[in-house]
This record gives sequence, C-alpha cells and structure tokens, in this order.
Amino acid sequence: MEMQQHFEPESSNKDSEIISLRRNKEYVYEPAGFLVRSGASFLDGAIIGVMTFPLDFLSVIPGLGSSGVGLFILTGLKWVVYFFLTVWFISKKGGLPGKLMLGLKIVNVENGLMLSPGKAFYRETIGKFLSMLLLFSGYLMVIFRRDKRGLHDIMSKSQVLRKVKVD
Amino acid sequence: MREEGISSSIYSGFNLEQPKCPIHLRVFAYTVDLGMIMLRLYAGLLVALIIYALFVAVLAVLNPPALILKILGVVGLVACVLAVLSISSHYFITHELKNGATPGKKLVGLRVVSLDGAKLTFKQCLYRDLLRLVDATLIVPGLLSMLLNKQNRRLGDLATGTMVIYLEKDAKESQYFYIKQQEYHLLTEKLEPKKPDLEMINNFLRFAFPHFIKGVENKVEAGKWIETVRTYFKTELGTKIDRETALLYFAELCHQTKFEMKHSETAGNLNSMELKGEKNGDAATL
Repeated sequence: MEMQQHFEPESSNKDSEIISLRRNKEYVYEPAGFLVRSGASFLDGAIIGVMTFPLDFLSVIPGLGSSGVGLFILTGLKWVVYFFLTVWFISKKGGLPGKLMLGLKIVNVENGLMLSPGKAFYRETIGKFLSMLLLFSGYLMVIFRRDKRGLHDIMSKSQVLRKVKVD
Repeated sequence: MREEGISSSIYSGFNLEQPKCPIHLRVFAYTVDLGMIMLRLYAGLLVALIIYALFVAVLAVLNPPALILKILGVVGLVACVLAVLSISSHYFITHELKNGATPGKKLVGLRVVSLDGAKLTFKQCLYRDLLRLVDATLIVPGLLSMLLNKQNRRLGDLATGTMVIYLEKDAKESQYFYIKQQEYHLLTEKLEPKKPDLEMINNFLRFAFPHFIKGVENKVEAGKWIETVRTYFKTELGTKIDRETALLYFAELCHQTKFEMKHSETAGNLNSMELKGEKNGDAATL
C-alpha cells in the first residue's frame, strides 16, 4: 500500500521537481448494495437501542406511569430523541454508527458533502415512510438500480457510498 | 499491578499529558460496543436455539431411556448457553489485545494505552474487563472515578495502569474524502493555499464529486478548472503540480473548508461572512 510520492522537500534539484500524487488508488467509493445496507441497519438499530435504553427508566417517575398520558409522553419523547440522534449523525458524520463502522457514507449526490439536517430529516421520516408504503418497493429499488439509490435516497438527493479497497 | 510511573510525558508517540479523552466519547464508544455485543448475542442465541431444537428432535427420534434423555437435554442446553456467553465475554479482551481499541473506540478515535509504554498484556486486559462489571454496570463508581481523576481514568484503568487517549488523527481519518489525511496536510504545508469562498466551493464540488468519486470523468471540465485552481496555490509551486493532483487537492480543500464552515462554533456570524465571500483565519479549527 505504498503511496509513491514524487515530492521530497529535501531534494536538491527543486527546479525540475513536479509535485504529484502518483498513487495507485488505495480505495474507491462505490454505491453500497442492499446487503451491506441491511447489515448496517441492523447494527444501527442495536446501537441506537442501547443509546436510548436509559429513557425507559423514566417511567419510574411517579407522575408518568406506564399507561395513559404518561406513556404517550414517554413514547413521544423516545421518538423525538430518536429523530434528533438520527438527523445529527447523518448530517454531521455521514451516517448512523452502524453505517460508519461498515465504511458506508451518506452523501449529497450533487457535491459529495454531508446532507443538511433538513434533507436528513426529510429522508428519514417522509422518505423512508414512502419507501415502505408500496410493499417496501422503495427499498427494493436499491437492488435494481445501478446507482443503488432507494426511493428515500432519490427524494432527498442522497446516495450511500461504500469504501472499497482496491487490490 | 503496575506502577503508575509517568516519568516522561511522551512515549510511543503518544503524549500522555495532552490527549486525555473526554468522558462522553468513552460513553459513546461503549454504547457502540454494547450494541455490537448485543447483536452478536442475539444472533448467537438464535443459532443456539436452532441447534438445541435440532438436538431435541434427534433425541426424540432415537428415543433413548428417559433419564439419559433428560441428562442429554440439560447438557445440550448448558453447552449452548456457555457457547453464546463465551462469544460476548471476550469481545473486549481480544480487541484490546490486538489493537488497543475495540471497534466502538476505533470509530470515535480512542486508544487504550499502557502507562509504561509497552503493549497491553493479557493480564491488563482481563482485569480491565472484569472491573468493567463494576464501572459500567453500576455506572456510579466508573463515572465518579473518571470525573475525579485528572486523566479521566476509570477504576479498571487505575487498577491496571492504563489510560484511554483520544487521537485526533484517527478520529478525523474518515473526514477526508478525495485524498488521505497525511497527503492533505503535506500538500497544505507546501502550497499554502487561499481558502476558497462558498460559491467557488459549491461550483467546484459539483464538478469534482462526479469526476473523481462517481467515476463520471469529465476531462473537458477538468481542463477548464485547472487554471483557476492553480491561482489558489503559492505561485512558484502553483505551476509545478500535476494536473490531477492539483484538482484532487483542491477538491479536498473545498470539502474540508465546507466541513469547517458547518461545524464552526459561530455558525451565525459565519453565514454573513460567507455571503461576502470572505473567510479569514480559521486555521485554529484545523
């Protein structure tokens, strides 16, 4: 995995030196397929579950119980925290922890930057909901498209890339 | 038990005084690790259940005497449970022995290092893991110990003479998109580029991302951009750069600048500055 750098600061003949990163690309980014993304979703779910697990303890507070209005509030709180975490991770780091650990990244299709919080929210809530609507057809699209984008990806102008080492 | 002799502040390339890791990062790394363990546990339990069911079915077919059946049944169940538990219990130990970091820690950019500069020994990892039962499950001892200790060490760290440090380089590795972090810093030093403004960034990335990452090569556009790009670099060196390198580096520069803009503290002020197209001295955040 050498990167052949053609620039050496200490070289004597600086006049003829051309700075170049002539390297054999170590890794490329390609669209992530269905299998990796599903695995990442599982991992995400487990990790987010662990992160929101302390919230369950709130039901011990006398005012809120495990029924009625209290339950409604707690569930609402759980949803809010879940969405906040999801949007934060996607817009700041490029994906939920499970995705990051498998080397996946959610990027904006036009310029390769991370999604803005608005787009991330749109993708997670409305986008994924619509994907599920017609028998998960939005998710099945990932298998059949060449650029592996699901309905929620197309709606929010995003794409999931995967870092692949090149031999 | 090892001595906590911190005689020199720099060893093995790590500066002990500096990169003490923030507690919330350790907590986050731990939740990621827990998530992975739980997933494995779940999968392991599923597999164990299936095997056990098959085992029971086979026994029912063969139909041995009742006592032996019962014994075999219990033995089978115990074996399955032990197998599942053994998968999860050495998650931490194996990873810390090999790399000094579990996947959760690696994601965040943390490392477990021994205070005497040697590689982590098995004894250290084992005791750390055993004490994790106290630190992490009861939460309070671990939290207290981390808050009171200057180096944010929990009970497991204190007992085994280890410490968790935060490596900024590792944490930021995934931020770099077009070229590697090392190359980027080398080139930045050499070229001392001007920071591009927001409009330039957006336009250039709109060309660079499809060209470099998605593989939709656009040589015509590349030819048009190269002149502009070279003006951002130090003039003597500006013309001595390979075309592809210059464009790649500039793409990474735009990517990083945009990243800084987003994550800068004074986001509000920055917006008005971006509109004017000026962006001065944000090198501190780099």
